[in-house]
Amino acid sequence: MSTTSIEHEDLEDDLRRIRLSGRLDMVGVGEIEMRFTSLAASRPIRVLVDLTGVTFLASVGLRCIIHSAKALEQKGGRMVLLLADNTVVKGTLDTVGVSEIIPVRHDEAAAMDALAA
Amino acid sequence: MAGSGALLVKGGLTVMLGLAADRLSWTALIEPALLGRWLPGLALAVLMAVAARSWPSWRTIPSFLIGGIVVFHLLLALSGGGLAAAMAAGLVPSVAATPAGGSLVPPVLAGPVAWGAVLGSLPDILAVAFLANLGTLLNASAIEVTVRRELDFNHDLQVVGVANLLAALVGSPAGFHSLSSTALPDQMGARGRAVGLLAALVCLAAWLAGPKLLATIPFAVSGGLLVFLGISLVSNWLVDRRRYLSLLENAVLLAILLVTLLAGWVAALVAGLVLALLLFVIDYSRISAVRSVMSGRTRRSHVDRSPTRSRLLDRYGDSILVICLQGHLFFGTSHILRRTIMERLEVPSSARPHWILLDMRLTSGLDASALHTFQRLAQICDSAGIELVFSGLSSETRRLLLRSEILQGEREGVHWFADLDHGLEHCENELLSLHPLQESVQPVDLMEAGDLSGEGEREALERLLARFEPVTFPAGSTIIEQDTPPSDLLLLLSGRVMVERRSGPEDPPLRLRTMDPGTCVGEIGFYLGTPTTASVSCEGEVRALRLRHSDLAELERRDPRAALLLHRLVARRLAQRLVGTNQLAAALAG
Repeated sequence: MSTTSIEHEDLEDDLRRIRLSGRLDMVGVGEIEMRFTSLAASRPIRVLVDLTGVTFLASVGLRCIIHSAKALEQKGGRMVLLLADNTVVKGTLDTVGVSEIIPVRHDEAAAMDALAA
Repeated sequence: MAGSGALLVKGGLTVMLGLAADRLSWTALIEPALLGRWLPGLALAVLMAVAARSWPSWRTIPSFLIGGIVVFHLLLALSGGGLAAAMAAGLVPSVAATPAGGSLVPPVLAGPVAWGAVLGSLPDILAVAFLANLGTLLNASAIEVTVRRELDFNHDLQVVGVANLLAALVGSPAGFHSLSSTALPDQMGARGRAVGLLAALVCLAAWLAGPKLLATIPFAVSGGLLVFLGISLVSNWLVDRRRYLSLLENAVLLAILLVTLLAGWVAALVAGLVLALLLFVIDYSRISAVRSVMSGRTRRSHVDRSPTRSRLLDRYGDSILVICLQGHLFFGTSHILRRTIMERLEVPSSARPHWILLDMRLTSGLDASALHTFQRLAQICDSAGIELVFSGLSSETRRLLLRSEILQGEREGVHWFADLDHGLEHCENELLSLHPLQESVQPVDLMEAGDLSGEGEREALERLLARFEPVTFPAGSTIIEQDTPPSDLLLLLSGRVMVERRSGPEDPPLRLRTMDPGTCVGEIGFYLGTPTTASVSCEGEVRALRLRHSDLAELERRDPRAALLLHRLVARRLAQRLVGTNQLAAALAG
């Protein structure tokens, strides 16, 4: 049974929301990596990655997000991570320094502002 | 031993009182009519115990025994009573008027063998054989301690077996070592083989002379001798050794002694085993299962990273927590591991580790309760977003962790790591992979920001780099061979090299370090001028700058400023390595 899911929603022509949930470990990332990369880094758009439903974020999941963010940046796009009150994922991002590489926001309005800036 | 001593005291009292062991009671002891039967023997025993301590000589105990017999017969003569009266009073053995030198074989063995009865008694026979073996081992162990000499248990078992087979021919019950019969001559200073032979001769003499000889030895002497041996053992184990043992150990000894007196030696044996086991569990659980706790900042893998990568590890190294475990993990020790990890989780989430590396190289195994602790820890780590990594697992521990689904797979290098170094390298690589960097290093990047002061030094660096020769080594090639003349200095620009050392030509190589771009190789031999102590080989294609050893003197003579820059560059690398080593030493010591 799959424990990881990915959904997306195009809010505007150049604004996409990708909602990840479940476990982003080796198995989970294997299930969503291709789809996530194509959704997040195929066009120079603004991408809001919603991690509020992620229960476990392993380094393999972090790598997948960072590589997509870098690829998106090189194409002229931008990625922001939305956490809400997910303290587990926040801890992971802070501990390994990813929050200094990709902007992290705790509410949707702030995330939209960061993407608009 | 103290329990055996107590039993000997009890045995001595029953001999003197003429009672069966199970009928000995305080009431019997304080019975006025019986006081005269055991008090003289007890007095003799106490005198012998005091004398054996004050005058430790082989003559001491025999003198008291002979003296005791002489005094008894003198008193008997003075009182006007004869041996028959003493027998009637229960002061000497009351022997039947059987002739001396009778048949050794009891009448029951003279007739035809009742094989049916033998078969019916087979369970009892086996039980006796088992108890005789157990008695042999227990008493031999006790004798080892008493005589302070190592015994060959295998030899003793064989001899006891042969002796029992021979003794069975004359209807003797199964026997084994006698602690009291060994302790007595040992305390008297008689420690040779002749003791056993003499004891056998005395028995033979008693058989030949008939029971009358035994009737001359008063119970006060034979019983007193047993009491003396008992007192010696109790005093040796409960009084003399008190200062060497802990309070808990002394309490256990006292408890065993009490159980021996109240319920016999079998119960004491069981109680002793249980208490010793408890004592062991208490003592062992005081030894922490956690040998050391370090972060990835202070404990680095044997991979020399470029300055940029080292800075990243310095900054985010606390995201790796290294816990080295030791000993046998069981319910008494595994809780310390749980507490150690829980303490690390009770901090703000940004200060928590992301990887917890458990190194189990120094553990000897784990029981079901420890396995349960690991399962619980895996759940806790999972809910806290922490990745649990294992290294140094034995095949048995690996099997247990796999079966209990703590390990998610069997692949080495993915689910577990052969040793701490490889596990740590994995965590560092994972951390560094989250911070994408340019792999290739430009020559000028070898100097760190702030190293060069002014235009003069920048020009000196260019002149220094011009002295270096660009070289490329193919994947798998060996750059430096172990035990060869001093090597050149290499500054790695791209690719990774591995430093390995072999203890002997046929021995497998041991990885000492792995080096990333931005580091230097061969600097020790380059500066010390000594033969190389390890081999350096390329993992992939390696691009580097090489300065020949012979060029150093010329560089110092012709361009001292460039030479100074080189020394500063190498000194910085060596100092960084020393800082890492010092941090590791401090972490291990703390």
